[in-house]
Amino acid sequence: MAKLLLVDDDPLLVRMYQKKLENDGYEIQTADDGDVALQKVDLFKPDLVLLDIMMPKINGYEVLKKLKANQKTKKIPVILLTNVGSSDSDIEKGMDLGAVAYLVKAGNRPSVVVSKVKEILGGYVREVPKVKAKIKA
Amino acid sequence: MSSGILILSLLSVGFWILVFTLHRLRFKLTLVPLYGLIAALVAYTHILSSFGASVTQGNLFFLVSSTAYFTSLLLGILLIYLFDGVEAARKGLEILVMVSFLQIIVVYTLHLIDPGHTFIPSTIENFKNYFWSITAMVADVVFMVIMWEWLSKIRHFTNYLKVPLLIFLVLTLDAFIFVSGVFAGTGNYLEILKSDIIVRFFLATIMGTVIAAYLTNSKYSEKERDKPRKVWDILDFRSALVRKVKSLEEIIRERQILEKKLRANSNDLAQAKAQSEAVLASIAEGLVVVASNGKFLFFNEQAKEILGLGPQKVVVTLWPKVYGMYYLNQEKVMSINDFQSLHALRGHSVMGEKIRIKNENIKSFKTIKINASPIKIASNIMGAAFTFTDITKEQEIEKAKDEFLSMASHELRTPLAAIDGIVAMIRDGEYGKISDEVRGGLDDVNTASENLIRLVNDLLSVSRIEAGRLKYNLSDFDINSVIKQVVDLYTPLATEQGLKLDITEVPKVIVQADQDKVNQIITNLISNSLKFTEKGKIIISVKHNGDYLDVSVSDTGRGIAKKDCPKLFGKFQQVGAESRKGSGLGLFIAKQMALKMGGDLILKSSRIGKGSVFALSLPKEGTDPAVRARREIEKEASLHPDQKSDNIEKK
Repeated sequence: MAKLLLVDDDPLLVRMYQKKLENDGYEIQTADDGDVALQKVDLFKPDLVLLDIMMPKINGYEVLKKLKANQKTKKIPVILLTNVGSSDSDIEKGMDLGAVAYLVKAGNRPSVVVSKVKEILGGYVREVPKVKAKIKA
Repeated sequence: MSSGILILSLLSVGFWILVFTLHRLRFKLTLVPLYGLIAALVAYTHILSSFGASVTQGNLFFLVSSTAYFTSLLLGILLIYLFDGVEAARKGLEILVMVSFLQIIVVYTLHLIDPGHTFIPSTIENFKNYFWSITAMVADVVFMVIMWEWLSKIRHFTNYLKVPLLIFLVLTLDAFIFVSGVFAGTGNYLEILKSDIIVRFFLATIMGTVIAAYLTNSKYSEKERDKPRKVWDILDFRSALVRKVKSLEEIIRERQILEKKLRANSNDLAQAKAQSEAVLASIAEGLVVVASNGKFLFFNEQAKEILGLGPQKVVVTLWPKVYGMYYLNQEKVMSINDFQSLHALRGHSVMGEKIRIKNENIKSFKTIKINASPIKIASNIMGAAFTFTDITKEQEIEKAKDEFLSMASHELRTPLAAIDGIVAMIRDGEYGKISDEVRGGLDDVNTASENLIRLVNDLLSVSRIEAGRLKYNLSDFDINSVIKQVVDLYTPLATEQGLKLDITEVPKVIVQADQDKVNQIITNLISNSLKFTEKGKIIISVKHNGDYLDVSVSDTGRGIAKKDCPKLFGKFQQVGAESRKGSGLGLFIAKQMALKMGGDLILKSSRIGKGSVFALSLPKEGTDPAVRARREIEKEASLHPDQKSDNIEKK
């Protein structure tokens, strides 16, 4: 029973992903902003974090930085979820900060997200996408 | 008898000499000849008086009269100097000397012929003697001129030496006479001299030398003739003065005219300068003109304001450091090597460089656009002109536009993603088992939501394309991989429709393009073909086309009517009776993207009922069109540095 932390400020999407992931047998906790997310990481100790970028107060990149800076949390894989476009620089930024994957919500149904999660938890391989097509897969 | 012969020979010699001289002189004479005549006259008088008296009064009288004689002649020289200047005076002096010299000769000659003679023509008998003495006097003058010429010929003697030389000779003779007279006692010293062979020898030598010298001297006298000489200048003096004054007046008048012209010109110049200054002061842009040697020629007030300089500050450089020029996207002061506009000083136009500026007078960042052009005169670089425009406001507007577009994308897509995701999940039973009817309904919802997503993406693309804000990520890749990807994705759908998707490959060809967008274009073409083809197959083939690679998608579908062809790539064009799912923007967007990447998208051919062939051409890596496209895209990207990326494809 893998534990996932879902960080997103949009309740609709949160509920959607939560439904799917719970249906697939993951234990889910959610956070709707960065501060709460960091707290929950400490308490919940998830196996993977799904992190939205566009959030009020602190954005996803900041949270990612903090996670990777903290000894206790830096090993936890983070998948970045976003809804805006994915420019090479955005991806690079995310990957440089230590994210393990970068997914665009609007382009990928929840099932795709789940496959990604499985892939990563199954064998943690940090991919550095060189070609954008890879991300869509 | 002997006297007669001597007279005749003297006369003939004198006559020839006179002729030569007059020929040479041709009446272009200064006062000097006149002086010569007078001097000769005086000399003659002196001779007469001295010899008339000497018989009774002796040597003392001779000495006194000689002194008086010389003094009067010297006064004559002074007069010449006053009227004709130094040169003429010099000549006069020389003539004086020669007159004296000749005088002595004449005296000797006379006494050789007629010793004791008185020279006063009291009777007709004496007339022939008087005549003879006149002739002798004339010969005297002539002789003087000749002597002058002769001495002039001796080049080693300057004018200054000739005169002393003559004086020396004369004085020597005079001394000789005097001394011999003294020795001879009273009166008859001449008797002794008559028989003195030295005198005769001396006389003959002089005469002979003179004649020979004159005959060989004619060349020099030719030269002399060319110099213009004024006759009777004393009369011309006044007219010469008047003429001089007139020419001075002329000069003054001309000068006044010139001064007037100069004033007018400088007025015009000042006016033109004021005009151009007014023009330059009125423009809104800052203008700086720098000469190629680095000197600052012009720096208008607007430039000072835009760059945040106090009005007093004198400008001597355009170094970014001095003004606080920062990069657009970094918090760093620009290094001078990155300040592209300075290349204008080397003859390259640099247009539209954008910098940010912050300094003691500009508290918060201003964005400045710089245009730099070299100034050339006849293809020589004289300097450069820089214009500075404050585009802070424009930048803010652009930024707001970008943010709006991003926000719009985000705000539109979030709910769409939710709808799409949840519907899919419901259909998959994630929310519990559902009946087939429910599933059917959800299928339609799904289709609608997919359409909506596609439409939203297309609309956003179009608005980005229109605003020139669509971001292109160019890379060099093998086209076959992208084709394969799309074909793989659509094969199930094709099979469902009973259609075949075939690829004719060429060995690996690298094109330069935005991979995602190529994917999108090919997807669009294939999905269109699938839409409009009932049966048969869709073939995707790749062909070489010079600098380009052509990807043709040909189907065996409905085909496109001729009348519909021109509108095909327009906005919101749906061709065909039914408008199926599709925004009508697909081909428009696809063509715009193809063009932007340096290629094109065209309808190659189409026949009703037979099918259509669409061709997408893309530049091969490293070719000229590839380079051009890359440059264009980079230029556009630099205008919108904060540009968020492009649309997202929905699978």
